[in-house]
Amino acid sequence: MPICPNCGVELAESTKHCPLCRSAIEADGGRSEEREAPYPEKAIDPEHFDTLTDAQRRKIFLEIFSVCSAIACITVLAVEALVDGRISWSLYPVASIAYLFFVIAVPVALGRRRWRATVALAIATPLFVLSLDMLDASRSWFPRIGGPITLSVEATIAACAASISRMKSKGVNAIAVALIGAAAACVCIELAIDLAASGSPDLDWSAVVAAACLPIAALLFYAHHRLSGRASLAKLFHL
Amino acid sequence: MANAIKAPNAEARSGTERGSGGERWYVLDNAAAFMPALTDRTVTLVFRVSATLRERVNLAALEEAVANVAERFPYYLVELRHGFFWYYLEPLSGKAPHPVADSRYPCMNMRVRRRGRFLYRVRAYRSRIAVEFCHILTDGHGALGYLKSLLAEYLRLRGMDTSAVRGIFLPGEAPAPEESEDAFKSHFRQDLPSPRIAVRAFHYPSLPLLPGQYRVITGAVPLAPALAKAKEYGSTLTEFLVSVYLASLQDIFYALPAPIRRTMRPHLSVQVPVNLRRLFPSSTMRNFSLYVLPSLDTRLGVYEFPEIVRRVHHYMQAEVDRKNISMQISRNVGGGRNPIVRILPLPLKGVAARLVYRRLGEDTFSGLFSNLGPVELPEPIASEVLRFDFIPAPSRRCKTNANAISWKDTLYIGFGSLSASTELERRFFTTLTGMGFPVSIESNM
Repeated sequence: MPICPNCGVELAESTKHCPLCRSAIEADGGRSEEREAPYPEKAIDPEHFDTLTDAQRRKIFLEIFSVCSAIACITVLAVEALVDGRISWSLYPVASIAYLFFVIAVPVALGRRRWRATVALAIATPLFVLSLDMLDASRSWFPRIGGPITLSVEATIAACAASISRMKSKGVNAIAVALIGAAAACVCIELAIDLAASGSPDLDWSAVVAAACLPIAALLFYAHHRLSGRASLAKLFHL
Repeated sequence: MANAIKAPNAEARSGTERGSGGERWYVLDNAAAFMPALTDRTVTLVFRVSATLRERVNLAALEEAVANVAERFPYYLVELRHGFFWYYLEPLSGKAPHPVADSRYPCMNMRVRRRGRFLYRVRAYRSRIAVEFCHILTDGHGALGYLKSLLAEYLRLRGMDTSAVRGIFLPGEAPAPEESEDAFKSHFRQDLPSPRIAVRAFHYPSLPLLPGQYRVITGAVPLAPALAKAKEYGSTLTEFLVSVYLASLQDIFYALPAPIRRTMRPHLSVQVPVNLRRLFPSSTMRNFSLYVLPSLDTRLGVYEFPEIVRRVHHYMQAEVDRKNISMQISRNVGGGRNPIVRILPLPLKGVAARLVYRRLGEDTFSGLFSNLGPVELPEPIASEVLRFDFIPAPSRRCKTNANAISWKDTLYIGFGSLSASTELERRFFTTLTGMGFPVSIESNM
């Protein structure tokens, strides 16, 4: 009879893995590896075999989250249908719930494939804003305001992420890049709003934001390059 | 008449089973009532009794034996649940545990508070069958009774004729209601004074092992010379072994540097569980054991070994007595019936239980020594068993504890420890070898 090389117990014929410890049974039935030790070599937690894998956990989460999201959508639609006898404003929360579902479910479903999740979210966000625009047929704001703002914010985030990921040493310089990105995003937002409203750009509040962020970013860059290699923040703060 | 204890409180509802059919559930016995709050991943309150057979374990037969025996012990086929005020045990209907792989570190990783988990498991390694029980479910007596049944059924499935076997619970028999009773309640008397609270005891300072590790060192000693030596000192075997344990603790205490020793508690104390079935009539398979605390006060000087044995012998002869033990039962059961305790929600009870257990329990003893005694098995089962082992549950405060069990002509003393130091085990077994006993040692680390 085959014998498990770890547990040393007799197993049924044609067994390929020990049902107790999951060890593979070798071609000679494990007879060649006999351990005389009073205890097995491995530290086994029997309940570990009962725990769910990452894929199973993700699947259960997606099932529960899908049901909850569907219930929320149906509830909102039903409330308006029962109270007002029509479907109008409830489409906004439904679109928001759908977008929230997408933002949470896609990274969970894709697991470690983070790039794919990022690209999917980058496409989904303008589409969500477009759908909000299309819900109200009386006015169209996506081509002039919603689209440019969404795309410029996404482009700024992408640029910041790319520049931070290329940094050799990451510290307060990453915060400085984020501040510059925030200033740039504010400028883009104000430009889009001004062009849509009056047709001419007039930088006002975004200049104030930039005036606040850029000196701080410069200070952080200086601190980073001045301190890098001379002081260890890990040591300083006992991290 | 020597026995002046009144008859058990007949009005008390001592059975732990409640409800019927699908609504059946069990109350935890008095000793186990607060145990769930004391467990974690390391301090599992799980102990082990194992039997090593002549032949290698056949997994298919063991799986079938575990399933067959499970029905004989319905009060063990339960999961732990929590209500608003108390924990309780709910049957896991239609399920039976499967044997699991043995581990290098036994008695670890039993997450008793999770749903759908049995509070015991059967493990197999080479020719050894081990059962690990959480103390919430039963004590050493109950675990040994279950293991005997499992061995009988396993050997029957392997072709042995066990039809003439008596004195073992066998599959197919109906369990008696008394097997699941809370014997503490049966023998509770309300009008007794509480025992004195023991003083805080010395705890050996030592670094712990890495998380997840549990060291087991087992020493095999010939039984007849050990019994003869115990008799020579005028003591029982348990008293003799407890004395060796205390002597080892005393050696460790005096080996500490004087400045450190002065900061330590001067009382060396050992918790010795007492199987109350020997004092009170009961056939319960749940917990029914309490303990006595033989101790040495190092402020009075250094004790010679014969002196230690004498003190332990006289203390235990006086303390292991129905009247004295009744006081402990009265305090424990009475505490559970206290209206303030009863109305506390379970989370608050857990906090209180940890504080009380620390002060009344692990603070008061330096270690534990439990002797399960000689194992009796009828033939032909006995001839198939080579040895029995008994491993104590891991304890974080009293890091090194010991259990003993005798089988045929050998005494097996198992130390379980979460301490990085093996000093206590070394001194214990060195004392035995110094008396002329041949000791064979084995360990998992």
